[in-house]
Amino acid sequence: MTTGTTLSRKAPISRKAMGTGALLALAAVLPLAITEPSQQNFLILILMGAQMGVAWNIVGGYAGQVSLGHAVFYGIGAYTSTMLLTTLGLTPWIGALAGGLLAALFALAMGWPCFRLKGHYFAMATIAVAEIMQILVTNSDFLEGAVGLYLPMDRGGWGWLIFLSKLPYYYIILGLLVLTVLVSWAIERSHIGYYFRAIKDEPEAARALGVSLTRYKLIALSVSAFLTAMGGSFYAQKEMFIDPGSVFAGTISIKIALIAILGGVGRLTGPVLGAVILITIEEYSRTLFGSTGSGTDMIIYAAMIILVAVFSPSGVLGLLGDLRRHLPGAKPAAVKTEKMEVRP
Amino acid sequence: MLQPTLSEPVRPVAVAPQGEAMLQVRNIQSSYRRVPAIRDVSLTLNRGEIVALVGGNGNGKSTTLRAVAGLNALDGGSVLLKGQDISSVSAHERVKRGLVLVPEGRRLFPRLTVEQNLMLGGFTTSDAAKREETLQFAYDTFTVLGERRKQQAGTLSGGEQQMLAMCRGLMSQPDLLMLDEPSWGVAPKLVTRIFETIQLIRRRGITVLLVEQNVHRALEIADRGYVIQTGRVVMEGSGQDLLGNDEVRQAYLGM
Repeated sequence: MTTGTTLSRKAPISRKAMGTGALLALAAVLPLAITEPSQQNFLILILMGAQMGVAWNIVGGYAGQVSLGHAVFYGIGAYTSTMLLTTLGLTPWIGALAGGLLAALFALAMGWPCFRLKGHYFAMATIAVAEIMQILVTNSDFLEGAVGLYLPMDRGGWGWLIFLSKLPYYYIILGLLVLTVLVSWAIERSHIGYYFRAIKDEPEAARALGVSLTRYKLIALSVSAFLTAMGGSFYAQKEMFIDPGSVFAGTISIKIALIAILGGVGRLTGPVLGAVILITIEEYSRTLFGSTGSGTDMIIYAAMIILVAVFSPSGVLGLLGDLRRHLPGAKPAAVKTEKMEVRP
Repeated sequence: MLQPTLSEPVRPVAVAPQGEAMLQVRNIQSSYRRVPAIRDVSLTLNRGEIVALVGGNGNGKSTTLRAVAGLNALDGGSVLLKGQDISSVSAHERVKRGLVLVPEGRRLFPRLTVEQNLMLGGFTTSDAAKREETLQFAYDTFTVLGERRKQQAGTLSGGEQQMLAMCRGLMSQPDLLMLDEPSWGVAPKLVTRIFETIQLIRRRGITVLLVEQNVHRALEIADRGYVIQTGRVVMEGSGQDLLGNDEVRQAYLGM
């Protein structure tokens, strides 16, 4: 039999590419139709959530190493670009890159010992690292401790990424989300992506195939950390104020992971969908329960975790897949068992 | 291209001269949480040989393979691949040097497709032509794998999964392939195919170290065999000699 198979990893992209193009075009014109600043801000929050979720998905989804301490990278990004801006007057274009690199280095240093732990123990270690970091920053005079850092108000424009209008922020975070998705997509299609999934599914078999578990877990964590830190830098630029509670908090870590888990881990579009759902619920409940004090967001996170765990461990994407399979006229799953054949 | 056919009988190749050993295992010891699993195992595999490692359950067969592959740490002794000491080389580096283990229970990636499973074996080599040729060999030998290359590996039958696991191992371009219980969980009809395939693999110039419960079948196709008992090699000889040995027959063949 001639199969003519090549080891090409290129999947057909035409229909997917068209869908993605249409979605991008929609995202590009959306803020032109929605001009109300608070609503534009809402869209920005969704894109920020999606960017964090897609970045988290690289290590938590593809490689299956669930981190519940991603706020540490977010905070490093926010603090690095802000400190470079306030002390050295460095543009956040460079500051965000520096923050990303610092976060990636931190990921290597933290991953080295933490990846000796597996599953829940790894997740617990990441929580501990993030909590320690928050305490350290809160008590650091150099970083202004609990008081936090203000970005300078005396400059603006694209050189400094500081704007009065919401519109530029929208396009910046859209660009960052596209970059994050592209990195994630490239990993998914490369041999690294296969290694990540092999490590997640059958670490023993991956080792037997010549995959260094630690090396590839570290790659996953540091790439994810780099992109998460860029998101943190963006947050600082947009809010113009950061403190340990706003960028290093445990709730941020949970939110980042939850966005991906809710949408569907290990899939490119999962976290984007998760962000749309989670941020929408979060924002609406904030206006609805705004006077009842803080804490409602945590109640919502907890409820979401329970719902996902009970009804669809593969997230909303998994749920949609199940629904599609049960619709009339749906293709049956390609499971068939025939007699085994071996050529003569 | 090599035709995957077994019409002519396979003769054991002549024993290669000393110094040409593919694998030398010297007095290795390994333990699980301080409980010794192998106490003293020494093996020599010459190039192009099929060597069987037989023995009852819990005597250290799998541990030996895992220790040679670098998946279990050594407490003592050494492992030489093509004359080079690889005792302290990491598991993934050993694969790159041509030592590949097809683990017990197959350990496929059930949610990846047949082809993706094969590709995962193939990433270790940069030689695209060789990779392509091996893939073609896999699909030619097992047409079912070609037909189902887009199907999730978890949906294959036990026998098909074993074929896939062996082919995935071949994709890493091994010089030495270690097979741990390849006939485990395979329908009796297909067991013959598995053993035929092992002989095909040897014809590709690959040395094979085989661990099997199916002692009779294993010794039949093996050039030489080692018997392992409570973590020690207690007997060695040609496949035919061991098959004819009364002790072996009584202990493992029930004859």
